[in-house]
Amino acid sequence: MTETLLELQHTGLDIPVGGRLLPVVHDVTLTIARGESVGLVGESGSGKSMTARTIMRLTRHDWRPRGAVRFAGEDVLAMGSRRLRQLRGAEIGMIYQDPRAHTNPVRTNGDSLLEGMLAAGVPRQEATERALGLLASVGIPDGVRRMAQYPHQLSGGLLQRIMIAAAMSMQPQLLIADEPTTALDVTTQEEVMAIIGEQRTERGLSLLVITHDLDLAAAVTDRIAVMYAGAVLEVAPSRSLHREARHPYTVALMTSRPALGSRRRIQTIPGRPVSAFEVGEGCVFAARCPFAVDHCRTERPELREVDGHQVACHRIDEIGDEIDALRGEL
Amino acid sequence: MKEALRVVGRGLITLLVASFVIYLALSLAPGDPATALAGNRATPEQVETLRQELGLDRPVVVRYAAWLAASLHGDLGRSLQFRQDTASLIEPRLGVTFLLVGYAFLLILVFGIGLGLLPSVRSWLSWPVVVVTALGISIPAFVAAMILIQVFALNLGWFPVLGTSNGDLRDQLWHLTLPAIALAISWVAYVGQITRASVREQAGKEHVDTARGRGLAPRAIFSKHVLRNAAIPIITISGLALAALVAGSIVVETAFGIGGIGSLLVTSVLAKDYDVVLAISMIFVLAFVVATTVADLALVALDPRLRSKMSA
Repeated sequence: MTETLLELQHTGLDIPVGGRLLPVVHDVTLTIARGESVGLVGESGSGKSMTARTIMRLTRHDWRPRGAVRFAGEDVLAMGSRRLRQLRGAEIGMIYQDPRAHTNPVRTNGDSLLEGMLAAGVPRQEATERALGLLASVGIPDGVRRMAQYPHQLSGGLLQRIMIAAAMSMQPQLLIADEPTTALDVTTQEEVMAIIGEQRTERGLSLLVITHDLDLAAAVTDRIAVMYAGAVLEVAPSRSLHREARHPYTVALMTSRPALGSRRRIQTIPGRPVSAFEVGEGCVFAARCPFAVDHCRTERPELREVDGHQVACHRIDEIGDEIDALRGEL
Repeated sequence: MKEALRVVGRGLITLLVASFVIYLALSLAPGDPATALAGNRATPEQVETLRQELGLDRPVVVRYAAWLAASLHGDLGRSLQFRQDTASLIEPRLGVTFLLVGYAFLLILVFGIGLGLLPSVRSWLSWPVVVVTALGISIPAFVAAMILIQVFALNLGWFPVLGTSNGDLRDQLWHLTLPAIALAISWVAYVGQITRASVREQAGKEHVDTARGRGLAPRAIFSKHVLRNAAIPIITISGLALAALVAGSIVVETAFGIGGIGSLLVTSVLAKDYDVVLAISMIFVLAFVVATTVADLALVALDPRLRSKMSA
């Protein structure tokens, strides 16, 4: 087993709403090894991005992270602000869903590219050279011109490449990509994912890809963690998740996807998606799960190792046949 | 550069249009300069002759063109009331008005922006700032003037009650302090509110999270990503404030007995001193256009999106 780089243990996040602390992330347990690529998938509002923010402590001062976040063995939640600034950028880089909203419109692309390096004390000359090299490596040959331009003069795809170059400039060990292609058009999406993949293999980078796109996650990751209502319900190898999903939610998610060339009617999951703060003490999926019993509604299940997957379900041993039957419809 | 020229050109056109509208409005105002000039005992025929002599029987567009041509050569007509050149009448009074407006504008920038920034330095100050600025906005300049005179001039005796000084700059500023405060007070509050709201909005932007995620220190984030962007609406409002201060000087100069062009405008209107009213109105329009144009130029310098939207 390779060395663990990032470790989340029962990580959660509570934020104050109207004077009360409400959970937006309940329980995320996940590890990422050095050089590994892990996908975090889930519906909108399942807490994926909030998990990413918790990892980098990009939280507001009145938000309350829970559990443990360890990066290279060091407790992130215990870091002081000075140590945290080193962690951000230099050890964990992040790219975001909407590169336009995440770039300051009144500063040049060069300013955005260099600011992290300059803040870390890299001399401007060296930072500029490094930035030009990085721009070339993400497919921007005319870096000098692009750096003098402003964000609004660039397309979304170009801007996202600059974001990737900026994240890489600090030579982080982990890159968190939060829906990196959702705001881009389809042809650009592939290019951007390919660039992220190249950077990963060249630099031995660990990757956490946050997406609601299961196919995208399967294509660029080694393992996938499935989140629902603020909790990770199943972690599985990307190759086998589709065929061998274990958790009732994951299986339902797989059968509710449209497939090209299939005339099968799309299945839906009964009920409506719930937010993390709506679920009670029990399993977050209990309200919509066809197999839920009283026990599921009172006690939250822990992730357990089942045939190479990690599954958080009390009844996983009892409902194997039913799950197989459901999956048979795929 | 191109956009800067465009802004200046727009200002010149505004100036031309606005000056014509003012000219038109004054020519439609009740009170005929010829009647006033001819005096009470003139016969209708004498008045009519005078009208022709003054060129008042010509169409307003022609009269405007003639006035414009003359005023561009420095000839602003004659004051009936003071029996002297309008230009030489206005000139010595311009300085004190500009000093008053400049003083008030400085107060607005320093205290307005300062007030608006307080909540980002100490978050518990947010609520007090909201209350103070809401109160400040609702104080009209003439009410502020009366209160200031009563408290700081009459009761405490810290400042003179009325008038201007002919002494050195320090003495002049001492005389203008209360008037400037009266003039500035509601704009200080307004600029304070805009600053607070703008900084707050910018601090919540997603690109600020990006900067945090790159490991920037809070101070650098505030100056490069929050303040820089928040300055855009602050500059717009400040430009409007400067323009409005010139008009506001009418009330404040009258209240404090300051011999600037604002108080001259009031006496000239009462005396139907046509050429003087026209000239001072035009100076106000000029000041207004210059203030907003300078603000627009500052915006172009600060916001790259304004620069290339046109050229693209």
